[in-house]
Amino acid sequence: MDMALEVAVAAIKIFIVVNVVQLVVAYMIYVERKVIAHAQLRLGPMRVGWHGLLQPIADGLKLFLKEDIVPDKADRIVFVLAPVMVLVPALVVYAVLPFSATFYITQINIGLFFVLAISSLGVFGVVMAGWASNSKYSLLGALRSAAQMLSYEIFLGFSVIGPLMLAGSLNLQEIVHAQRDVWFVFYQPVAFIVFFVAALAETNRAPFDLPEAETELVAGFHTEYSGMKFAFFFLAEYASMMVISTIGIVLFFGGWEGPDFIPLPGFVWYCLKLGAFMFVFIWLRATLPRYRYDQLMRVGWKFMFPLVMLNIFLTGFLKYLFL
Amino acid sequence: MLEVVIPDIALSLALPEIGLAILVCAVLIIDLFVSLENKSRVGVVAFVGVVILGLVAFGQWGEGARTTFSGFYVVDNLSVFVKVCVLLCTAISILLLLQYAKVEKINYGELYAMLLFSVFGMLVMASGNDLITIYLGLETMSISIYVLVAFMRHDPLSREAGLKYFLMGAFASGVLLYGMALTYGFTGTTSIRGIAAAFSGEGGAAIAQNPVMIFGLILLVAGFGFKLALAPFHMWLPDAYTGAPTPITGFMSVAVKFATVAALMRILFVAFPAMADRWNALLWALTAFTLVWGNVAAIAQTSLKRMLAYSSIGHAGYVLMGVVVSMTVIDGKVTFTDIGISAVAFYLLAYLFTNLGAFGMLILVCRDGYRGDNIEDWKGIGQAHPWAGMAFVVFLLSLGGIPPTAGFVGKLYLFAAAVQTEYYWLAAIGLVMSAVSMYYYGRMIMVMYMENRGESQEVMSFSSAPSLFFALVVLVVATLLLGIFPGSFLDAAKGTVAGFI
Amino acid sequence: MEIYFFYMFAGGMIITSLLMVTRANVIHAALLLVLTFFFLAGVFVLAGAEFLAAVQILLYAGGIMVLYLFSIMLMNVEVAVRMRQWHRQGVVVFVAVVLLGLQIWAVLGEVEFAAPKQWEWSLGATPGNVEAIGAVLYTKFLFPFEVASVLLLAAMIGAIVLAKRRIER
Repeated sequence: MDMALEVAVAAIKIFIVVNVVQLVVAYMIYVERKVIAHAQLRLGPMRVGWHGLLQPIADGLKLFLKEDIVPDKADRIVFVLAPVMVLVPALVVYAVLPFSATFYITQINIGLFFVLAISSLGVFGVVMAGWASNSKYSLLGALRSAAQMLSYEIFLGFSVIGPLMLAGSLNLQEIVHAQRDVWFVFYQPVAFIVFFVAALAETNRAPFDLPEAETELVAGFHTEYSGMKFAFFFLAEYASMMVISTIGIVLFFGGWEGPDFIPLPGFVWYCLKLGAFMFVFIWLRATLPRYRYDQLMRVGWKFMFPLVMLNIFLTGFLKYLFL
Repeated sequence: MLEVVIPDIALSLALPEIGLAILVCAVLIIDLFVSLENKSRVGVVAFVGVVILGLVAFGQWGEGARTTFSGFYVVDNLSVFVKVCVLLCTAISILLLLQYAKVEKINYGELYAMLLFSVFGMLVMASGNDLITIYLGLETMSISIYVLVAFMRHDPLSREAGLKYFLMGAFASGVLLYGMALTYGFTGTTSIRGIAAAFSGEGGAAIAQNPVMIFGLILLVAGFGFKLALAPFHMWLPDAYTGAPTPITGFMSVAVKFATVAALMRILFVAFPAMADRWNALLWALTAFTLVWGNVAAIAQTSLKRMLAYSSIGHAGYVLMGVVVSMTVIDGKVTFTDIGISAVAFYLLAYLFTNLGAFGMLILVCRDGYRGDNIEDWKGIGQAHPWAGMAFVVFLLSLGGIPPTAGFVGKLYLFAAAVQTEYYWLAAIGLVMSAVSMYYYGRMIMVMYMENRGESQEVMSFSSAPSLFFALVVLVVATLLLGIFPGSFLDAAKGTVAGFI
Repeated sequence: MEIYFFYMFAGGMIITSLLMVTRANVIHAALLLVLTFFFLAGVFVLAGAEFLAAVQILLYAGGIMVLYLFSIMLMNVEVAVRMRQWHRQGVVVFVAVVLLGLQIWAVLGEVEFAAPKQWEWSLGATPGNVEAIGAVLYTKFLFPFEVASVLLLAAMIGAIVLAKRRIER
């Protein structure tokens, strides 16, 4: 009986999280359009609802009703599976994210490792989509994506080691608890910078959005997609942006904990921090031009990599000396 | 928090390995600051380092068996002997490489680094006291050698050799690993001593009779058989040896045998005495087959390098013969005889100088675009270049086992061991095959001395590089020394037994 | 309960790996191999080795297989798929496989598989096996660990040496 109850509670939590995430994603797109519009001295969507507030709903409806095209020469099975392969890992990761002291789906010992492992799978969907479309643009986008994600995943993985060494646990809740006094960003500024850059590249966001560079590759790996399949890619991109932001918050900014003198509930702190992170993501897109491919690789391997290794070395050294 | 117990580690025991790891890194870093024309300097650094490490390893001789790193690592006379010999072989190979690399335009720092990497793997294998260590050492050795074999990338033969060797080697590693996994499954440990304890402990006899365990043992032996190129696992060898850069061929034909045989003996003698009857029968058959196949196939070769490759299969058979005859049953009890193990050690030592010398002769005639590979090209060399001819004759006689050379003493000792432990058939096969081998070694001597130069024959010129000259003089002297005054070397070979079983 | 999951994962592994080796299309084979890795990770989780499971997914599925796909896509797969393959030694292989199969069958029929035995250092018993693996890796298994690092360095440098474009005749 207990087990059934547990399963039921978990199922309800999963239901809530998945739906909220989708809703938030829809509104993230709205926010992004608005922010970028204002950055460029435009107004952005204004027609549907007050200041275009209902625009995401209309967009969603439109995508639902659009014709779902599968190209003639595409590898049908892989083509259909690809958007699923992108979206599922992005959503599965939410299973271990701590949203507040009490609200989370589950806690596992290898939490952070689990997040890294599962989110590394998103690239499969991208590669599958690019290959199955049987289109030059898609394939180029997929190749870029594979190379980019492989490279930057390494720095991402190494950059979290510094905070991990300080926290002494892979469990995300415990990492949050370890930052009750000082946020790790103050101990680990280098790790945070590397983490953030790697996060941008992992989520294919500007200035690292080469896989879908619209000026060169039409839309990169999802050129041939339409309708709901196309929407899946968008959902996945924003969902994984939120995941990576959450990980950043947990590792470097004390997770759902805030300063004691401002008595706000943990979940509110989490939402505030998440909002700030997402704003920076959008802000960067509005500001920075796109990297060239070779620059991207050079920055990664010749600058980030030594930097992050040095950081791990120094962290261990200093921890041994002072802690 | 979990309590972490740091075990006692005697780092000084692993000094050769640690030194070698540092040397490799040093070579890689120095390589960055050396211009493309002067890469030989990197080789010189590697040579000096290897010689020093050889002396360090030599200093560990005769101090009994000591283990460290939680029993993963053992230093005993056998491992020291193998290490010193491998490092010696490496030093000579580097000397042979210095000139060859320039001629073949593969003079890059990575060449020496990869060579040292493979040596690192061999040293680890020699000292491996655990299946995990032995496997990791084997992989380090193999992967580096795949790269070395394919190092002449402009040469399709070398590329093909590398690919073949890589595919077969990867497959063999899988087979070996599967054997190790089954062993672990039955005994619950990967430690060599632990496996032996599991067999002699409660229920051990049942494990030793279990067909799946026997299957695992077969896989283990087959995996090592691939690495040693025993027939019928030899098919990659002729192509790999022919395509590889010649000094590398010499190096791998000798050093790989040292390391692999050491690891094989350690696994079979120390961990699997309980199944000795089974692996002994298996190895007996492999030995006989290898001896026959290697020597008979060598007859038909027209390429010198290929002939030496097949002869190397034959010699692997002789080495394995020593392994087989080390085991004997006295009063229903499995015993390992000292004479067998020391015969293996001495034979390998003799083979080191002899075979490196034979390949050294091939390197001597290498020039741009010409490798002296064709046996016909050697017509009349005996008269034209008497000194080089003499040196080659010494090596060929030693390979064939004719006095007064190292090969003779090695074979004599080996057959004596076989007779003493009553492996008459094996000794007979070995003798007959030795006679067969004299046919093709003798033919080579005939070609050099009895036949006159042909009209259309390539003109051979012998390189006068001092490094090459020095290496060959050392090899000739050592081959003769081992043949005429084998006493102290035999003592060393006998010393390898101490503390091993 | 766990046993059903085990059969699910193990069966999944067998099916996907069989499918994998029978595909003519390399990309499909590679994707099926990813699935196999997933099922293997599931088996690891059941064995209480969650760290290994995560490593399995992170490195094999997320790292190595992406690299595979990447290199397959750079090749001309279309040609490779259409290329006729033949095995001239088909008969020999068939006979050998049948003989080996009979042999293994005979051997396995003879064996009595003992009940699984608990070995002395069960990792699952400790609170989290990440910590346990770390503790054991840097103490007991220090030597193999360091040798493995040299092995990886050798492999890395070797791969670069073979792939580097600059070496010219």
